[in-house]
Amino acid sequence: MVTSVSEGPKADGGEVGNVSLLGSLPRSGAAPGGTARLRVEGSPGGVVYLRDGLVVAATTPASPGPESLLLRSGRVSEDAWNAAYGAGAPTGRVGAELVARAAVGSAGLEAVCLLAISDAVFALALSGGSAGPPEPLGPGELLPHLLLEPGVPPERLRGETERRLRIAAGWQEAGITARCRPVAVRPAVESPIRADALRQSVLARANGRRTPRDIAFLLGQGLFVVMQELDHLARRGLVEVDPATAPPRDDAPTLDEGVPRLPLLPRHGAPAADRPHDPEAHPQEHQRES
Amino acid sequence: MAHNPILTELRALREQVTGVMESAVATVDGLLVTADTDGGRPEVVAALAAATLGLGKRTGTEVGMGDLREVVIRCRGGYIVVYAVGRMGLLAVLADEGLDVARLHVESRPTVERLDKLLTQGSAN
Repeated sequence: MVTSVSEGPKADGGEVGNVSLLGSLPRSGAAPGGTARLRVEGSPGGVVYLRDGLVVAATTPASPGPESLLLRSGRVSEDAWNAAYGAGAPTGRVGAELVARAAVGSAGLEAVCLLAISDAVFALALSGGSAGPPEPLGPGELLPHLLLEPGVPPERLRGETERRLRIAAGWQEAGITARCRPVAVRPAVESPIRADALRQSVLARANGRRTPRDIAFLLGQGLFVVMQELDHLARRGLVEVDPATAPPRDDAPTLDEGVPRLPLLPRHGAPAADRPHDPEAHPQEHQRES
Repeated sequence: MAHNPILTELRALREQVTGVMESAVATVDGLLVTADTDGGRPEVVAALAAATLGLGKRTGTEVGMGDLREVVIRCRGGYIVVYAVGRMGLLAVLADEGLDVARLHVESRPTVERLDKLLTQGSAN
């Protein structure tokens, strides 16, 4: 059955995404036994993995997976990950090794895996992906390193994604979409309020080049959470959003304006120094990410 | 206003392939031509990419695996992918760990071909 976000409570920003993907998720009782995968077509696409009817992982370039969420956010150290990966990857036990080494608690790992699955399915639905039927996985085929044990029922995932899509529809009013590239109106400040830290971190990365997905990867945070923060920032006038789908302008000031150009080959157009450059327009452009 | 077709190509590649963060076009001897950067040091990346490409070519030849397709370096925080652009240039792409490498390879082929033409035209002018 193909459901539609428009059947739910109306959001003020219209509709987003394509929930035909969610209609492709088999019901728990009707799913094939063993391990299966759903290939999601789209740009970018992804893969949803099922085991005994439950969703155990979902991967897409459009949102950070559990490894990125754990490592980029600093929840798990690089050394602890390398040790757990070396010991557990050949047998598909990276998660168990992380827990055994006290790098992360079992509940914490479960939460991160569930967050990553919810985020990936949300991202895939947002990009309008559609899925084929589940394909059984052979014994030699590899699964993602971190799986949710025992998995989330597809019905629950469907409900959660529909809820997220309804909220995301409201973000369109402020210009926040998956493809937007928000730019901070003023530099982020160090916030004494802990609850405000993520918002300031998002603001600090909004340099007009990065999409919400790029910022989510940089921070090791979920795509949905980052888009939510950007919506708040946009409504408070702290970030501006260019039209999401507009191709980059050839004449826009670039971020490498300060780089001396070597006259190796004949240059097309004016030299960099002749182009307009307003440092206020790109407050983060010279910030280096670690 | 300035119109830089090489920069347009680099930006288009970033738009097309999720995960691409920065890129640079350089000569095979490591001199920067144009970069679409985000605070990095493109002239350094250009020099290192040239060395990487040369090493990849020599290694491939040494072990008898034929012509180099590309060099892919994977780090904790992402990928550095270096493509040869014709005989005189290279394209270095920096991407985060979410990159779909196979998709980049597919999407970058026509980009590399167009960059080759742009570099060749440029040097002939």
